[in-house]
Amino acid sequence: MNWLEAFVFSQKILGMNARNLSYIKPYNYRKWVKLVDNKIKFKKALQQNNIPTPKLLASIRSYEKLNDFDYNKLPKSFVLKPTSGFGGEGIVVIFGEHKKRTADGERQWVKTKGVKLSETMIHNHISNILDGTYSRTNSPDVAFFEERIKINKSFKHLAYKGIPDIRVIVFNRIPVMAMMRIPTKESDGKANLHLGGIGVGIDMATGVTTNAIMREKFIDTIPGTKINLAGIRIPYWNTILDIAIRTADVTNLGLTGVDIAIDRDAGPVVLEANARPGLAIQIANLAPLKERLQKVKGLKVKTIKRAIRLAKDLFGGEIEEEIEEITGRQVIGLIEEITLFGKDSQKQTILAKVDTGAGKTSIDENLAIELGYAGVLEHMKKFKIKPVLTLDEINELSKNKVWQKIEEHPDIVGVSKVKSSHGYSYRPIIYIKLKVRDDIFGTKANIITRQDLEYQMILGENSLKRFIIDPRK
Amino acid sequence: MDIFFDYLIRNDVPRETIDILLMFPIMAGFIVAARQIVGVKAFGIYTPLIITFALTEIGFKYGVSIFIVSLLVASIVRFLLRKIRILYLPKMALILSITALSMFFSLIWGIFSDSTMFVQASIYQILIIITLVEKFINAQMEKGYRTAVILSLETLILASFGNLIMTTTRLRDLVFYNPWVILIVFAGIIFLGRYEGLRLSEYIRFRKIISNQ
Repeated sequence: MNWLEAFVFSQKILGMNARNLSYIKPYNYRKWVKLVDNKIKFKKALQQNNIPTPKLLASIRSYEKLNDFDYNKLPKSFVLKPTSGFGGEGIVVIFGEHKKRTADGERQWVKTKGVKLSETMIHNHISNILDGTYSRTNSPDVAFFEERIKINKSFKHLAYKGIPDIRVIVFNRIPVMAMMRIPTKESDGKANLHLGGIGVGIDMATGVTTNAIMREKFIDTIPGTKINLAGIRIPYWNTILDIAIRTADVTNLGLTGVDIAIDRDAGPVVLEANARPGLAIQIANLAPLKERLQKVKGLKVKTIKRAIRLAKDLFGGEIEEEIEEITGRQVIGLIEEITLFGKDSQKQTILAKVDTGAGKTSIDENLAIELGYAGVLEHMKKFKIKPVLTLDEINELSKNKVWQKIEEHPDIVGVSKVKSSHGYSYRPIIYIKLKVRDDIFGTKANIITRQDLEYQMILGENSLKRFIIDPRK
Repeated sequence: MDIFFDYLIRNDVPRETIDILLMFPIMAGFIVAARQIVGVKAFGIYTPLIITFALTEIGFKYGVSIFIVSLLVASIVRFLLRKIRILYLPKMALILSITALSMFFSLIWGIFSDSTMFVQASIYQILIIITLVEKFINAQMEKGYRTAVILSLETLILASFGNLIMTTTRLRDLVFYNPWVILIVFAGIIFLGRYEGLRLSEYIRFRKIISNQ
């Protein structure tokens, strides 16, 4: 590439001047910038729109309120934040309660590095927040407590402390670029890039990570470890895009950076939105942002579905699409976000494990109940079959033709004998409709108690014939 | 305009005063260009501007020395105060006061090295340089030591170039005899205010994206 081509290409990169002049000024009105800068107000706006966000536990607006505050109201773990804080300043994360009270009978909690905090210490920190020590303008502020997000299993090995989050830049309702931000030792558990956090680019179509940067320099693994940063599949990718668009709608901002974390139990939750998103995301993605913004400028996108489609088509990688075009089959990974359709049109979106070693697809009992198959389980109870059987016991059941009686239930299409490491089990099979990627189809699945297992559903061979599996995804 | 300036000078307004007021837009334009085109952040616009004028008054060598000494003293004082739990404003008051007192040593150094220009310089010029300390400590608290040092260095570089411009007698005379030149400067500032292109520093920052293409 000669210098002229380089210069022409460089004009597709979003610089500070263009960001402020062409995008923030005309699209992000002050009134709405103020809304996202006030974390309590914005949290309430999110809740009103049914967008998941860590629950507000309590807020403290004045010294009077602080002196009257009842510490018994606080749960075992929580996060304490300043409302107008920025860059992660003044945030205290409490991981659990200490068994013993202090000599004065106060409750005690434990924060990062095992440091203990008593009621008095929390009181002091709140008074610092009220004084405005951490606010953007050093003016008096409001302190608030919110639910602590628990780290998702697939991210546990990545973060030093704290929780990785996903930054999605949304412009004109369309997600244009995304990156995962990982807290490091250097960033002291905070995900902010300028504090030394890691930024990892994400392919918009698949939600798979690409390149990683730390302090704007490229890295392959998390420093000091052998953990690869490329090729990580972000779980709940579709839901994340969906939530990012809905959050952008709530902000009323044209250009916004939505920060989403993945809670172990609740799935994707919105942490906050940013009216002045940083530009380093371009380096992590090795892709220019201005070009993308120009592409979606002026597009009229009515539905969220269409916005997601556009984001994936316009800004996603093309490799998978090529394979799909040749084979007519979609490429899926080992963990897939799928949607199950229940008996009475209930919908459940879950993470399922793709297991080519399992002949049959199975789903968890509780999930089956949520999908309207409680009757099946009630019916099964009548036969008083033990969860784990020996080979003799199972042959006995077959000989007595118990399966005939079981299949009398209209929802049961068969009975499956499954061999596992513990022994044998006898399970009812139902027929369920599910959606994997863009494919909606029906499959047979046996019901099993999987409570102690990581995934509520295993997609076995019988459900996988229409897909190509890429274990890196 | 000549009549107006003549009138001022006849009534004991120093030429220096007129020069500084006339050069102000040019210096402001210079700092805007440095920010919008080159990408030098420094501490906003007023701090580098006022420090430029202070440098010109005290003399470049001593001005820069005071600049560096005051930042060093302020950092040390802040470091010593870090263990004491004390509110923001009182802490800043202590840091600024001790930095100001440290100027006695600078004066003694000035006496020993026979710099009459420095020793006789108006104390206000020296205090102006110390205003930088508040910005510096504030940046240290909010953005970390590294950023604070970078911003200070950028301010120093801007002020040094600014000092070069300020001491160019030809330019001073040009503006003094043709004050309408300022209108061109204003037009330039408006142009810079609408400049959407990448800053030079951004070509470096984003070089990997470009070379990856």
